[in-house]
Amino acid sequence: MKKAIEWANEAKRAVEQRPIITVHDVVKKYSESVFALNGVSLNVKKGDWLTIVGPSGSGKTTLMNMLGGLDRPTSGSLVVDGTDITKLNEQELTKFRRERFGYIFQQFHLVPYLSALENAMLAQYFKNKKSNGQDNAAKALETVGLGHRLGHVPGQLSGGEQQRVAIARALVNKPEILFADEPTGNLDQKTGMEIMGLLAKLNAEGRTIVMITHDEKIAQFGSRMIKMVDGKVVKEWRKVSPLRGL
Amino acid sequence: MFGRILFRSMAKHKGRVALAVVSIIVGVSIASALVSVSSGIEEKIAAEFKAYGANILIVPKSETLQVQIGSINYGSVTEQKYINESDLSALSSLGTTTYEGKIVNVTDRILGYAPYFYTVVGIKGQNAVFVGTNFSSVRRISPWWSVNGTWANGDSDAMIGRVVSEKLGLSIGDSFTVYHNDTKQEHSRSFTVSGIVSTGSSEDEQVFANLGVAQAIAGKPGSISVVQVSANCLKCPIEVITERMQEKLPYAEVRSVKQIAAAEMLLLGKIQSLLVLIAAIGLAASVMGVMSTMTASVLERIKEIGIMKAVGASRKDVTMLIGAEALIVGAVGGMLGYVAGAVLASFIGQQVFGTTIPLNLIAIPISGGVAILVAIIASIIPIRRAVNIQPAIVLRGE
Repeated sequence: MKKAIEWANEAKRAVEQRPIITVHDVVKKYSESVFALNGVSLNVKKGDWLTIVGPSGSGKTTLMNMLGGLDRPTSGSLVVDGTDITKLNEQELTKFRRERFGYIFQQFHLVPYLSALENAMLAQYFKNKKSNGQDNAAKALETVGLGHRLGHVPGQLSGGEQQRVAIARALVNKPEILFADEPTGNLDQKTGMEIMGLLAKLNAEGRTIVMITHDEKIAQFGSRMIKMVDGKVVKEWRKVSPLRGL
Repeated sequence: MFGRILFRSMAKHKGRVALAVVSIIVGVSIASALVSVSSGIEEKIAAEFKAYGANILIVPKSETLQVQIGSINYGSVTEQKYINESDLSALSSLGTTTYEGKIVNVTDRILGYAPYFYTVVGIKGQNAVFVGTNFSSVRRISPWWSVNGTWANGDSDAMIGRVVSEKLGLSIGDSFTVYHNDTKQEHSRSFTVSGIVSTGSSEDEQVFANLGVAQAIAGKPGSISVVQVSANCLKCPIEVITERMQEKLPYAEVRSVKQIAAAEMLLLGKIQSLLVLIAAIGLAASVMGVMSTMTASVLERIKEIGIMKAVGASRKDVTMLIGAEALIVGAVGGMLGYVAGAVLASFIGQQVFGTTIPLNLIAIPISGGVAILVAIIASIIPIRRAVNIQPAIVLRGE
């Protein structure tokens, strides 16, 4: 019996250690001489919180767009949970993206004429048109502490509140992987830390997070960090004990 | 959710939506007005064609006899024949016939007819062609007659042609006596010149009096030399009408004046081509207007569409959103365009034809269909642009 439990734990650890994202020699070039990504290879394990840092123009956002299926590489492979997403056609990629990924952007990118609730419902609506999705969206907004602002449009919300709506929208389809591009870039420090607390909680629940940041403090939240320069990964760290839940 | 996205988006961009609706209204109102005008003024166009003159002539069948004695041929003699005036009532009861599977009311096609009786008389010692006719009929089918003075009314009134007036030195108000040459009895009658006719044609050399008076002078009561008929042959060949007349007047010869009929058809064809061309230009302008407005609208919403695509909207979802907006714009524009078209048609009717154009119900589905078609055609390029939006590029702010 004891041995069986050990085997089960081992199997669980093996699954957890299995890469959910495998990037192999990805190149993105805009012309013969302009490379946004130049032979990037990396793995992201399930439950990882990968932080991408680097100077402007180093290819951070391009890499994240590739990982998140928002853009396609010129060459190389991007395997997400066993599926090479570079081989998917547009329709398949759209379906894959809406079922597996959630996105949080620096500029929040909410639809200005829809309320907080409707913005949060948007991702679920495109995933399943038959489902009303209102309850899930309301629940997601409550999770991010916006249960009292459901009917407000983005223009009536503060920056922090808008980013919470964006997080709720990213969560509503219960994605396995969250992509966050400078999620605190447009927020003050206090609000930024609140948002990071939310992301830390989501990561602790088992969600994989890929995050871009310029802020060293924010970068400390990740369990793993890569630095990019000129379209290449030049440095990689793995934290023994990441700072979470600050 | 689809409705919320659609209507909130349209409300947010109501200026552009209104512009697109206006573009549709312009195109559809022109098209529907022309449909109403072209169908509502057919009779009016036919009436205008009366100015071209009679397009059918009815003359007696004449028999030519060869005069030959022995081996010598002395030429031919044509026996003078007439149409019975009493038989002309048949022109008012021609009934119906079928043409290309459709029933044609031939009686309704007759716009008017004028009987003429010709004889030769002596006036002031000179011969003149004396014509008896029904003046009210002549005024109806020959509106181009220019009459200096007044039209003849009573039995002692006569109208003389411009050349006769100069030749005989007769003016308005002058009296003259007519002597008939062909009868042994001396039929003579005095007339007063009520008006001088000028047509630039043979009428300038003729003298006109009431039909009965001319017949009496010639001793041929109830006789008609020729009947001029003005018929509306816009929707059927003139032969359909002449054949029916021929059946009613078998002893006469019914001839269509091809030159006039062909000119009428040509003019009608040109009017129709012009209407179609104007409608096409209006609709093309409308398509361009809606297309540019919707393209601008897509460009204005490029970020929203990028966001939707990033969070999972497919090409079909984007197509449905833009397409539904186009359909709403088309439907609203179509309805308002029909109303504007009815007003425009009424204006055209009053200004050009001096008549009201009746509301044409067929223009409602045509307007709606055309408007939606215009909106769909106009939305093809904007939809293509929208579905090809790359979320990564848009969200980067490029």
